[in-house]
Amino acid sequence: MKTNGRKASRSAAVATAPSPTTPSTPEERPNPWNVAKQQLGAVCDLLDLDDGLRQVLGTPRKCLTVAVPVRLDSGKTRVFTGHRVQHSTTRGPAKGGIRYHPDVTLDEVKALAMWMTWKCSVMGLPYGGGKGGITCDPKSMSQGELERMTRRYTSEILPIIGPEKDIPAPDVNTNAQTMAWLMDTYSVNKGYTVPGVVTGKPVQVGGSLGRNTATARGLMYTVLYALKHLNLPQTGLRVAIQGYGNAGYFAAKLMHELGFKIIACSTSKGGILVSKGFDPDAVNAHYQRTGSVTGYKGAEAVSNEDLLELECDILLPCALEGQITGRNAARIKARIVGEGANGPTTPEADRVLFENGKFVIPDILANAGGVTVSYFEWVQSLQNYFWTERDVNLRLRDLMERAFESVYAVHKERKVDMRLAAYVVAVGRVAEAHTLRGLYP
Amino acid sequence: MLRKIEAFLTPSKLEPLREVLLKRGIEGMSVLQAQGWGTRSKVRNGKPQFEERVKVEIVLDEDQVDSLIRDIQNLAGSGSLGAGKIFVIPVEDAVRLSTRESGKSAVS
Repeated sequence: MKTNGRKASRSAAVATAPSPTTPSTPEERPNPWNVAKQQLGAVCDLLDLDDGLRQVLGTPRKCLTVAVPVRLDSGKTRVFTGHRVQHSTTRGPAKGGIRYHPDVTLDEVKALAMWMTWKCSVMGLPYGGGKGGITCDPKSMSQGELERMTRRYTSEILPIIGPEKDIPAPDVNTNAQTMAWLMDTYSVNKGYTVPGVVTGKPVQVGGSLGRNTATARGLMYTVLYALKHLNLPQTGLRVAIQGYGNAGYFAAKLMHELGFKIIACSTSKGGILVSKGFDPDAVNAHYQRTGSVTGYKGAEAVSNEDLLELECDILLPCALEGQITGRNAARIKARIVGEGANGPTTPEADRVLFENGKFVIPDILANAGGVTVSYFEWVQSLQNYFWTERDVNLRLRDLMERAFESVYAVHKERKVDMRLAAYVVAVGRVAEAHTLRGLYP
Repeated sequence: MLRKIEAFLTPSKLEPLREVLLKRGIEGMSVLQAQGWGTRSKVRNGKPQFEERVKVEIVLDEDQVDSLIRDIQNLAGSGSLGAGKIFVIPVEDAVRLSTRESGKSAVS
C-alpha cells in the first residue's frame, strides 16, 4: 500500500483535513504544525474569532522535550529524544497518544496534539488535547529495551502527566503493554496504583471492556446515522473496506451482523473482492492463518488502489493516510466514505468528493469511538468501578449519535462539507469554553 | 443486571420466538394481545390505523440481551416495514414465589 502522505496541496488547504498519524517520509509532506495552524486559521475566519482567541487556540499550552537515555541489550547506552505536548487543557485534562517512530518531531507532536483537542471537542468529551512521542525505531528494539525506554520516558514526563492533568494512550507502535509499563512506572513513583493515568491498558489492570471494538463500533454508528439522513436503507448495501486491522475487521463484522454486504477488504499485502459478499470471520481466520486476506477461496484479487474505486455503496478507508487523492477521487463510486483511518482523504480529494455529492464522514468524528471508550476507561479507572461491555457499547452509541447530529446540523445550516462542519463544532466549543473560563490573571 | 425485553411483533412470529427461547435456555415469556399504530401504519382519513400485534415480555440476564435481540431481528425480518419494535428496560429485581429465589437465579 502506498503512503502518499500529505503533499504540497495540503499546505494550501482551506480548513479541511485532519492529522497524519502514520508518518511518511518527512520530505514528502509539509510541516504538520503549519498545516494544523492553517486549518485552524480558516475555521477561526468562519467563526469570526478575534486575534487574541486565535493566538490562544493556536499555541500549545505546554511542550516538554526530554532526553531518554536507555541501556541497550548490547550494554551500550543510547539517548533518545522524547516529547509530550499539551495543546489545550481548556475543556479538561490533555488527552492523546504516545507514538514511537523514527520520524517523530516536536512539530508533528504539536500538530497531533492540536488535532486531539478538536477530536475530543467534537465528541463532547471533557478533555483537551495532547500527544507524545519518542524519535526511535521500535522495530529494531527488543522488548526489554522498549520497556526501559518507556519507563525512563514516563519518569521524565511524570511531572506533567496524571489523571487530572494529561492522560496518555497508545498510538503508532505503542500498545496495551506499553500503557501497562507507563501506568506501573507512574504508580511506583507515586507510591500507590494510579490506573487513571493512562488509557488503552490491558483489561486485567483497569482497561475497559469494549475498547478493542470501539473504533469500529463508532464508525459503524456514524455510517448508520448518515444512511438515515440520506434516506438510504441499510439492508444489502455493499461495503468495501481498506485495511483489515482492528478498525477494518470489526467494522466488517459488526456491519455484516446488521445485514450489510461486505464485498471487499484488504491489508498491506493486497485485497479481495467477493461480489456476493463474504463472511468477515472466515476472511479473518484466513488472514490469521496466512498473514494475508488474498487467496481467500472464491475471491477475486484486487489492489488497494482499485479497492477504493470499486462499485459499492459505502467505502471505509481504515488503513493509512493519504489514500483518496486528487488522482483517484473522481473515480470513487461509493455514496458514503467513512474515515476509519486518520487522514485518508487529501484536501484536494475532499473538494472533488464534495462536488460529486459524496458524503464523507470525517476522521475526527468517524474514528472517535476509540478516544470515547478511552474516556470511559478513564472514568471507570477513577471510580475503580467497572462497567459491563454492553454498558460501554450503549454509552458509546449515544455519544456518537450526539456528536454526529451536532456536526450534521452545522453541515446543513452552513452548507459546508462534514469535515469543515466538524471543525466548526470542535473549535467553536473550545473557543466558547475559553471565553467562559476567562484569562488568568 | 436483569433486563426486560418488550417486543412488539406480528402474531405469526410467536411460534418461532418460542423455539428461539427454548434453544437459548431462556425460561419463559409472557404474551399480551395488543393493538397499536406506528410510523409505518396504514393511514385512513388522515389517521394511522390500529393493527393487531402481540407484546412479548421476557426478563433475562444482561449478558443474554444482545444475542436475543439479534435472534428476534433475524426472525422478524429486517427490511419489512411494520415488523415491530424492541425495547430493553432495566429490572431492579425479580423474585420467584415458589422458591423465594431472587435476582438472576429467579429467572434462570
